[in-house]
Amino acid sequence: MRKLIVHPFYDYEKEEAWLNQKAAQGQALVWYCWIFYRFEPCEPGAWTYRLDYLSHPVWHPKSKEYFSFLREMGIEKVGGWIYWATLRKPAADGPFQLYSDRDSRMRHNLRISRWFGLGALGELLAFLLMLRGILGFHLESCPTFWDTHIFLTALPLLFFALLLRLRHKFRKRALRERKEQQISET
Amino acid sequence: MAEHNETGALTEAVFYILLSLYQPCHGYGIMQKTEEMSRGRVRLGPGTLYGALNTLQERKWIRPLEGESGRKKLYQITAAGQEAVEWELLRLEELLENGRAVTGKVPAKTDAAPGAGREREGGEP
Repeated sequence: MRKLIVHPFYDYEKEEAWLNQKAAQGQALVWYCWIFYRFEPCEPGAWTYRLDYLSHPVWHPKSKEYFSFLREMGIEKVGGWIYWATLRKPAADGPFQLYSDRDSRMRHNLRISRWFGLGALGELLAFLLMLRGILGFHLESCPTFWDTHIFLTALPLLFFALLLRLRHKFRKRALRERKEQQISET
Repeated sequence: MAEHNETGALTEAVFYILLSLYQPCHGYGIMQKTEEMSRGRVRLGPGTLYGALNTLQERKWIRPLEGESGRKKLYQITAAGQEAVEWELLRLEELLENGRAVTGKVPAKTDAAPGAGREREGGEP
């Protein structure tokens, strides 16, 4: 029986771990877009899932060429959103790691950090615009107005902090790979 | 994907990809050949391999082969790619020679991957 689940994720590693946990429990992801996930029953542990942040949007011809290449390896794309692709491979085929050397791992982490950096910038702009709006009404004394709007104005600021933290996490990882590259390739 | 480090050396992955393409081969075949040649030590991730193949094509060290549509895409090394491998072999020979001269050690030949074998003194292979 198919099941549709709505589950927002910010950290792709937690999302990947969740998908693999579901697969281990006998629920295979068969479709994904944004925060929507559709699962179907499967043999427990039949699939391994990986999330990939692409160099081009999922609909771009170069991304489609990449998915075609992955299909040759027995890797299937089950869903995508903007630059994110959800991939799966039968667990029986062995370990599933997309990037096997420091350079490609570094580039992947850098791409991901840029994604979160852009997201953080968007949230910051939203916060500043809302702050401008709220300050425009500062002469009015209206407790309800202030309570609701302060909460709504604080939200993008919270998301900005969250996305900035994630940007820092992946950028730090990329820089560590770059540093280790001076010693070894893998 | 990086093909050379700062000294101009090929990365291990690129070296094995180029060796695999002395005969026409598709992506999965490259992964298998690389794993076989390195005795299981070098396992190419599909994302890493795809990036490397694109970069090697841009450098014209490999070229895609025209095949039937729907079949796996084949690649083959070019003359420029072969030249890069030959330069790399010279570099590796220099490393090996200097390593043996300084350490006085010659690793014993075994079927295991490098790093798992014994080492012994002397210059005899």
